[in-house]
Amino acid sequence: MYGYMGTILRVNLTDGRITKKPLPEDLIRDFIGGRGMNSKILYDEIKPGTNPMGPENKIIISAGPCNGTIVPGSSRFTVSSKSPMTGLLGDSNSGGSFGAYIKYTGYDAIIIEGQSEKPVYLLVDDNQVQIKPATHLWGMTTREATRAIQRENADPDIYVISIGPGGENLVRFSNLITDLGRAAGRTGQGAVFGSKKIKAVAVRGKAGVKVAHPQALKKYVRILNKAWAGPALELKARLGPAAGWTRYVEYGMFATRNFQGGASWKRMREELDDYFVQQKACFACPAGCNHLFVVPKGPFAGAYGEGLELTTIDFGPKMGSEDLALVAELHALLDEYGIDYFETTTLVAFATECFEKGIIDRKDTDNLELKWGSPETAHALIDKIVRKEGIGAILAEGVRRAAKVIGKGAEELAMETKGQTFAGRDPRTSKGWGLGYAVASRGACHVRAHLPEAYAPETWDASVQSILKKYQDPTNPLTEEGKGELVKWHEDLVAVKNSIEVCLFAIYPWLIPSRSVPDALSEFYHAVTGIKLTVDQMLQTGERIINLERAFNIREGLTRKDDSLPKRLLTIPYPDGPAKGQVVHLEEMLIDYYQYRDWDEKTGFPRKRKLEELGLDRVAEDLAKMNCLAT
Amino acid sequence: MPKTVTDKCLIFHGDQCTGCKICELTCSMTKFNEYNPGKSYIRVLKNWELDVNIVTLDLKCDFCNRCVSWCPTMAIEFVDMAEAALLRKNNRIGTFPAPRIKSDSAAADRNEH
Repeated sequence: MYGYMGTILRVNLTDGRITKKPLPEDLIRDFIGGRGMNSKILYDEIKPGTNPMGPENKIIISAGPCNGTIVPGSSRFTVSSKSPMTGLLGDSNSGGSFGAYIKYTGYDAIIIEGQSEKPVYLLVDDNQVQIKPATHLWGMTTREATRAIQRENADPDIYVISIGPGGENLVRFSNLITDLGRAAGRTGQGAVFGSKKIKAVAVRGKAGVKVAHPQALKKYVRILNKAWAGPALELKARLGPAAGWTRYVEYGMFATRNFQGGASWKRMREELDDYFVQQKACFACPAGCNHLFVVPKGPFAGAYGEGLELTTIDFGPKMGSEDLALVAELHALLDEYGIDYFETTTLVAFATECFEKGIIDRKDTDNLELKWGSPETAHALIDKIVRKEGIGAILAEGVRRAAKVIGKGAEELAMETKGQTFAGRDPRTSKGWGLGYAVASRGACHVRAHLPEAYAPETWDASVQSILKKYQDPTNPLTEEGKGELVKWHEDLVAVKNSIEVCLFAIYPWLIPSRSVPDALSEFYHAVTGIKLTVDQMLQTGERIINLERAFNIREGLTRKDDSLPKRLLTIPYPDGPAKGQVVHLEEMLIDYYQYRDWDEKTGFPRKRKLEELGLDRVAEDLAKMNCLAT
Repeated sequence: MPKTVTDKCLIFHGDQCTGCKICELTCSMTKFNEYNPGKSYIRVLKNWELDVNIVTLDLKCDFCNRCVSWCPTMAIEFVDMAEAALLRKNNRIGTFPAPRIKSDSAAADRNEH
């Protein structure tokens, strides 16, 4: 077996049982690996109604076929379990080194079951798998825990994913941090770790990854690496995802003061260079879009971390702050605490708006005045959230649950879909992103479709050009027409990328001569595994994964009304900038989307013929039993 | 200038290295027909927190140059020893946080438990 290691490791924390089973071939054939494989295992093994924080939930940590090889951006890994945030399918992926080193331990996936009585961590050291005591690590931040695990095993070449105090205290949106500050950040995977009393998973291994066609692989990789070395891409590599900044400014996309209005926020961009120390690459990546950053001066001088990209900087405006030093310091702090910065900063913004509107007052905040853009407000609230003290105990449940508890109209200020908040791009300025948020299987998510809206049509994928031609102005972020079909296509592609476990960013159409990402993925996949999947088969695999995830969610009670956006984004016109006057016409995009998915327009349930076409006959039977299958 | 040594020397441009380990992957594939950083002759020592990468070279390296040709940031090159000596004279090494390495004695302790 090429590319794959051929073994799944299963660890039961209740009874300490450790088992190893061969990786089933049909699992690879139908779901590739990574996210796809995880979703299939979750569908098969997690009964509907399972408590996400109970012993019956399972954590699946998977690599894909390309991890550990030279495929550009093949550093990703996916952690999946039923989400404590959404009560639906939960997964989150991250870059760094951990994904490659799972493979070098000799496994494709690690499944963690049960619940430990005392804190433990899992050490996977080649063939030696140990559940080790972690009472001494409990209470440590993510970096402290990583350092301690490396020290007690006397090896800096041990790669760790760890929860911080957030996960230990069962803050619902807790995450897992690897390396300095790379996060499997969303859907509360850290809270599931915390509920099982597992602090960390550490891997070290000497197994090699063999590939089917090394020469062909090198040929394809060379093309992409050369593209990354080109001067045109220097900026992209230097600024990473922050290079998209100009579009945010141009279209006024930043969600400002809890999605109340737009602003350009140019100043932070100008200061950014002064914070970057050194370009930093994930494992095997030629782009190196990541950076070590440090706050150079002022009260937060010396706060350091990695990342500081567009989707982190944008949480400043969301909290009403244009202070890059505060944003950078919070970035480092939230990574140390191991809590998702999207949800955390939305909560700070939400609480501040509730305070502003008189929904909560000083009695609720331990006499603290909540102000927009105030470092004191942010620090005090974050501290309370992590400790679950005072109002923090309410906020630690995530913005949807917090708004329900607070009541008095707070629900309308909760910026979330399916119980999870958005990235910092306001959907009224980017309609396709709005649709992506509304339909994503893991709750609001900007990287499930990751539509390149606002980029020129010729930079979009070659395989999508025929779709673009059907519509008037489909790449314009302010139009709704065509977004249903485009979101569907891109969701399928992302599902494949997440399953091969390559970075969304490292393999982009403008880097490839053919400009077809599915084509490139097909070549990489064949060279690594020897398995030939045509472009159509590749995208169909993506579609299969999306449909299976939909079925998982429907089994948990999801209905069409869960594919929604908050009222604010649907009814209140955007106040200023190029998107002035815009609202999201979600309904017409949704109908369009369901049509291309072949899901029923009225119920949002998949049709029998679609599931059977995808080979999901048994899933169709399951849904039929629940009266949730469309004909 | 007479050449007294036929060996080459790996020159490392530390500020260009992004720590991606493509050199390690290339070496292990070239020499052992698998992607396995643990077997590579070229190794990147890291201070992972402060993003310092230092390259070291196993004595078994035969200067095949594959790692150099695959480095995406041109952070490494092989030169003659004489050229390396001159380069050494004309460059400072700079100031940086030290990488951490594996501890042999502690590893031995661990194995006893």
